[in-house]
Amino acid sequence: MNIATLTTRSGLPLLDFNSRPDPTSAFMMLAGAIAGGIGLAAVFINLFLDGHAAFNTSSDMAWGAPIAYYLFFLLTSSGLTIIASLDTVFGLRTFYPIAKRCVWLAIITLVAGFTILALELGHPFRMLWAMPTALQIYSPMWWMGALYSIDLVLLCVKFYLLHTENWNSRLTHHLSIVSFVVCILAPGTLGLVFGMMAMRPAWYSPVMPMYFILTGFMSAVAFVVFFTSLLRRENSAAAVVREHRRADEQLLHLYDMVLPRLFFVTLLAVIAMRVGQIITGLWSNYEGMEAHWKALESPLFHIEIWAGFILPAALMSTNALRANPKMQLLASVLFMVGIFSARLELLIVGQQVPLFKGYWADYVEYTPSFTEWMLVPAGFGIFLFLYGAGNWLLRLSESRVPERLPEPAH
Amino acid sequence: MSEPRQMNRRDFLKSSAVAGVAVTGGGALVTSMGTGAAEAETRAMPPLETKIVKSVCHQCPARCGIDVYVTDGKVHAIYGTLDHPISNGKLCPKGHLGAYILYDPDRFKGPMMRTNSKKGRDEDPKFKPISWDEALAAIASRLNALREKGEQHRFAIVHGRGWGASDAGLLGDFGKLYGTPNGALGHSSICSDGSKKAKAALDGNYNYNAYDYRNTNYLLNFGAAFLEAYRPYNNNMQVWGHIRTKSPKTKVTVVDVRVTTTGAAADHLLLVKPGTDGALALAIAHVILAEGLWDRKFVGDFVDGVNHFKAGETLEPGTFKEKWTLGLIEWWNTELKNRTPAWAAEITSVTERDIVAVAREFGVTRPAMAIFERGPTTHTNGLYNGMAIHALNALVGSMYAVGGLMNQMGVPYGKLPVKADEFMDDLARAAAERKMPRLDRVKTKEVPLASNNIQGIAQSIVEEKPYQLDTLMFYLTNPIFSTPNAKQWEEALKKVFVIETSPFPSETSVFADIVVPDHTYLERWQDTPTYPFQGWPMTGLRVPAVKPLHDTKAFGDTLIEIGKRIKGPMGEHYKKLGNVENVLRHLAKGFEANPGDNGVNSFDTWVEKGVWYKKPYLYRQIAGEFYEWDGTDYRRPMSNQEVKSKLFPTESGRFELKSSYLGHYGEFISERLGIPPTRVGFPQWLPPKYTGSGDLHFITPKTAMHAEGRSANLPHAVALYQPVSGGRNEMFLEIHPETARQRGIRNGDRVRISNELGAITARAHVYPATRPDTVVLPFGFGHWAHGRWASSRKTGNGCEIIPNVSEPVSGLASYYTVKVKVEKA
Amino acid sequence: MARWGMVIDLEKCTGCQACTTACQMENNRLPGENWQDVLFYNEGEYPSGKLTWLPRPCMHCENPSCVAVCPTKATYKTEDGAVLINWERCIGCKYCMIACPYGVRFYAEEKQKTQPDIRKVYPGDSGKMWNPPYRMPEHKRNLKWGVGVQPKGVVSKCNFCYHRISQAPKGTPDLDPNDPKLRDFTPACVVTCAPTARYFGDLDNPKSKVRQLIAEKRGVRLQDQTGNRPQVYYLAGEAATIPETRSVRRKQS
Repeated sequence: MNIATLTTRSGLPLLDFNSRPDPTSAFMMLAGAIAGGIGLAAVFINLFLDGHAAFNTSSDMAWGAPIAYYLFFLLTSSGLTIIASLDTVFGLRTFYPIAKRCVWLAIITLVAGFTILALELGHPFRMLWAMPTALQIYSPMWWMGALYSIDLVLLCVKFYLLHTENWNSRLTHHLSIVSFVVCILAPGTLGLVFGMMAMRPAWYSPVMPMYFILTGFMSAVAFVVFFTSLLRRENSAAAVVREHRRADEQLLHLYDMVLPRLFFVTLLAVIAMRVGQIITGLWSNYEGMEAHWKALESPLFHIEIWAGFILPAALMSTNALRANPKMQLLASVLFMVGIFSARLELLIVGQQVPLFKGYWADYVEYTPSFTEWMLVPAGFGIFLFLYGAGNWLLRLSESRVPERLPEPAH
Repeated sequence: MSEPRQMNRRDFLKSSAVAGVAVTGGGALVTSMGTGAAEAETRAMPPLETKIVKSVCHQCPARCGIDVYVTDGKVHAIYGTLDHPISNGKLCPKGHLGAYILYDPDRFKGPMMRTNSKKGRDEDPKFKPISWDEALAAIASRLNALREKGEQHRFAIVHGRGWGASDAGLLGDFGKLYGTPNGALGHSSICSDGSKKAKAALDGNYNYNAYDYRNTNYLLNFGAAFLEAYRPYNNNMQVWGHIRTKSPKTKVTVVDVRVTTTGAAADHLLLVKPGTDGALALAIAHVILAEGLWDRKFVGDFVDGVNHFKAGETLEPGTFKEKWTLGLIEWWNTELKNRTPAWAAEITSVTERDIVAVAREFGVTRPAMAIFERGPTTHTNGLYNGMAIHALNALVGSMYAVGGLMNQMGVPYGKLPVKADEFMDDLARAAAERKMPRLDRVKTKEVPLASNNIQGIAQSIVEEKPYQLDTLMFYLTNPIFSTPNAKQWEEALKKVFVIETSPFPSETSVFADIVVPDHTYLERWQDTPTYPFQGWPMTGLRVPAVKPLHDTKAFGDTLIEIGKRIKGPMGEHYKKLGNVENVLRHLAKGFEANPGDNGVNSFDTWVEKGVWYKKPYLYRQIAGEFYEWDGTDYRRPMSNQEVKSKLFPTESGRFELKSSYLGHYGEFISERLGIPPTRVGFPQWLPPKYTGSGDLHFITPKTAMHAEGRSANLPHAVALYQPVSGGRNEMFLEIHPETARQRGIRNGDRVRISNELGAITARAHVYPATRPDTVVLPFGFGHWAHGRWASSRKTGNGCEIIPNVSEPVSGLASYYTVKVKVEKA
Repeated sequence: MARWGMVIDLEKCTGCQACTTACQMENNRLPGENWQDVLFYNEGEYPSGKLTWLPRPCMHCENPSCVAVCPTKATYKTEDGAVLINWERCIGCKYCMIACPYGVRFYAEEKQKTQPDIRKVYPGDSGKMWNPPYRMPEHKRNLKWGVGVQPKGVVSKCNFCYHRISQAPKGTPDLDPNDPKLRDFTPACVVTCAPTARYFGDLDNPKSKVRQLIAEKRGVRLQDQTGNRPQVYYLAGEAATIPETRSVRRKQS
């Protein structure tokens, strides 16, 4: 069976090898392959030579940069799934044009995240049997693992359904509802992984799931803004029209109005939430919370707050700026850098004040090692390669105006 | 050597039981899912027989009996021996790491000869492995050549803390037979000769004391790191657990110059200015007398029964009738009457309030004892500091009392199979008649009263005075690292042929011409008569737990083998002596007539139990009367003459508060210390002479992890330096925040510690509890050639900037009088 | 079934760290991988600076948060009260290290603080992280209990010397190391503790010495607010204090 000969219902090839990759996709695949190849090679070599001593994590800072990268990708993935559900679940037609792209982005961010996690774990393959057989329902991480696994499966099925033009089927709709629920629960439990840890006061918070869902959604918005603005490098409606093979006001409205506004409003919510965290942290006398003061010394904190939050919010603060694709591109990149720093900062802040280590243990200092940094090109390389490939082969801009919407369930 | 008899213990643990135990927490699922390679591996592995060899630790002088667990020829655990009076089944932190010392990857693997004729700190000796026959022949031919020329004195053996008759105990005869006065140049002058001399001056016993800690109710401790480095450390901690929870709880006051765990665990920690402990002790004595708190049964009383001691007032000698002391009133008149707490507060920086409080507590609590060690005595005024402290034991009547101090009894060893005197040849006799001075100049006009002067040897060699040395052999000492002005040895060792016997690389071995490595302690036979402990005699036996890992030889056997190769009757002597095991077998013959309390009455039973001991201690002072053990109790009264010969061997047969011993050396002491000859006998305040150009006292104490020099290369110990200056992985210079701030030093900064001798560096640990006038850098961690872990620690060696000044009477090196300058590096 | 627990008398403890080294050698730990650690704390200034210390084994909690978070049930609670790690199930996710309020867990496969790296001197084989020549005899090693030289990529911690205590005769109220018959079943740290600051016994047996000490000397548990309910109790006595959990020097010059 030749995969290239498989087709969808309407006869479109399942994998569209016929067209040559557009320059952007080709560049992404090439850059992704190079970055991913170098990153993975470096990580594998160092892990082979030194084991996990190649990381700068320690028994005092058990979770470091790899977990931060993992968080970055997984939460983004969940956010993307939410965006993809806005149409398929809630019928917000505005979002149809980006639904398929979001599902694909969600899948590949998960893959990148899981790959990084596998390189961080002591025994990733053991996890495959040990977690399912343990049924440890008390462990948020167990739920997180279970939900993200389900999430990945659902996303793949959903993508297949969209790709095979089952946009309007009941199956798609129901599947999308389940997928939506899972993509809320998954980052939620990931939030619980941190938020339930009373012994780590800087993390301990019932709103940690909400914070994860919200920031995941925000970074998803940034991803979408970034990747759609890439489509419009020429800053012309024509490009969009060409890409989507349709021309309507709705499409331009989505790109010029809806997404940037969504970006701005969500960012304000993120800032509000983060300010609450920071103030609580700085004010509290509780042991372990002094890490918030220590965080003020960290460049990560300032990249997060100023470059990642405040500046993009300013850039998206007026209609004129919002409609400018260059500003959109800049704001989304800034936020992505900011939230990337924030993930690492969050990891550090919870562990920076050592627990029962005595006088000789100062604040735990942590900067990622070379190997840990190389997980960044590894993760983004995988992501970019798959995105470029998807863009080339999977018609990510495809969407069908539904002849009839599914009846809303009463 | 025959295989030691060992206790065999069948390990009952069946492998099937290991594999079959169900994991309970996770339920059956966990158990079934857990089946993996390791379980199969466990099943396939039959339980091996574990033997427990009884031996003796060698990481400090305490001589703890150890159970060495050996399975399949590998040592995998060391615990204290349960029926050993010192260890009682316990160990200190170092004891467990002994297995690591055995398997130290940096050990010398066999005898080696230097091939690089150039010597220096950075010169690779380019050692070439040689056979034992070659090594021994090379040494013997060198020694024979010297001997034939009648220059035996040009051969010297410098030794550290020897163990017993089977190692350092062999050196005396070796030197005699060979014909050198330098056969056993000891290290005690960099150890604790100060306290021995102080005690000898007052009570006539030139020895450390044995102590009845368990029954004391007050422990006044001057500068003895009771819970860190004071022997027997392990037993001290056992004592601590007891005395701090018994009823009544023993009160403890620690006088030190820095915060230690001992001081922190005590009731009071008085941080005195370095070198002023004596002033504090004198003030305490003053209060005890002025407030009438002395022990009248031991000391005596005023004839009229009224206390006439008043500050500043002189008394008539006849008004007081002394019982076991001598010279109390004279002491008061010449020294004590003005030694008020207010006076001492000025000198020591301890408040008058604290001095009075401690003096009263100490004075009213019985039994009470004052102990001291290197802290007060490694100063230029160390002898008098020590005497002032030891005098307190007389005032509170703790000498030979329950809960007081005793002296250590010897072990009734059997005789060696051969007598050295019968093997002296003409060369040896001629050498004896030449009466050449010792290389360390002890018993010359320069160092007349000390036992040893190891810290003077480098100078002797460099200046070729009293003569030019030819060959120098080291055993268990590394003075090029550990003596004051350590760097002078680097010049000295270039000038002589050096024989090193350490199993491990050391700074000495960098300068060695030939290395004949010893076994580590888990591989060798050795007797270990106890250091002063609880008075009654005891001797442990070091039994090889495993066959030597490398081509090494116990030092005792190396010495005997060299002896066999010396021409003439000396060689015959050593051939008859045979080897160390034979020596031990003859020593053990003494137990036949004196079976130990644990049934040890032969060599074999000694091996089996690991220790011979015989309780009780024979003497006791009860309410001012002395009694000897009569077989069931202390009931046989001792005459004054017996007390004099056995307990207070001073001229007066009493505890002399005016030392007649020192009185004989009035001129010498007067010349060296500036005390008028008439006053030299009294415990008194003598201001310390601080050495070194600097403004901060520089204290280099021993820590709990200091294992006779070996802990520096134990990675596990390195990770646990801890409490105050230690941290984890690095030894720091402890400095007060204000002192640091004035010098622009921040916590963790690398600092330069210097005086006229040079400079070393270390990282600063800003520690608010340190005295502002004192910095602390523990001894033993600035190695530059001591194995891979020891040599990569980036902390300087304090001994390089300690001027070589000694207390003239005891000969003890004054380590702690040095001052330094500290600045940001 | 016994429910093993430990009592540590801080008034007797001398801070010597023999418990630490005994444990390290018994259990073949790496330098600094102190399953049983002694923590030092400083407060105050000359001449009244206060130095205190706290020995800290695994607390073997009644409600262990580490067990709850372990996604593979590699960390589990035994019927006789120990919290163990099954090294055949551990995936090295280190969540238990996050969740332990007492900081007792180690992931030894990391940069060694004590250099040179001893694992390079004694490299491991057949899945072992390292291979010290003084390692525990192979037949005593038990991966399901987390006993012996550990494999790579797993978390480790104090196991109450489970290979010793699990062999104790049933119904023993206290494992007294001074009893030659019980000595080999007593945890290494308890065996060696020179001032006898440690006691090990059955917390469910009202007649055990540990229960008696907890009652008479008012034993306390660390961080009781966590609800983990440690099975290691401290006797603070008059000479000792329970130090703060986290000691980060806020004032530094």
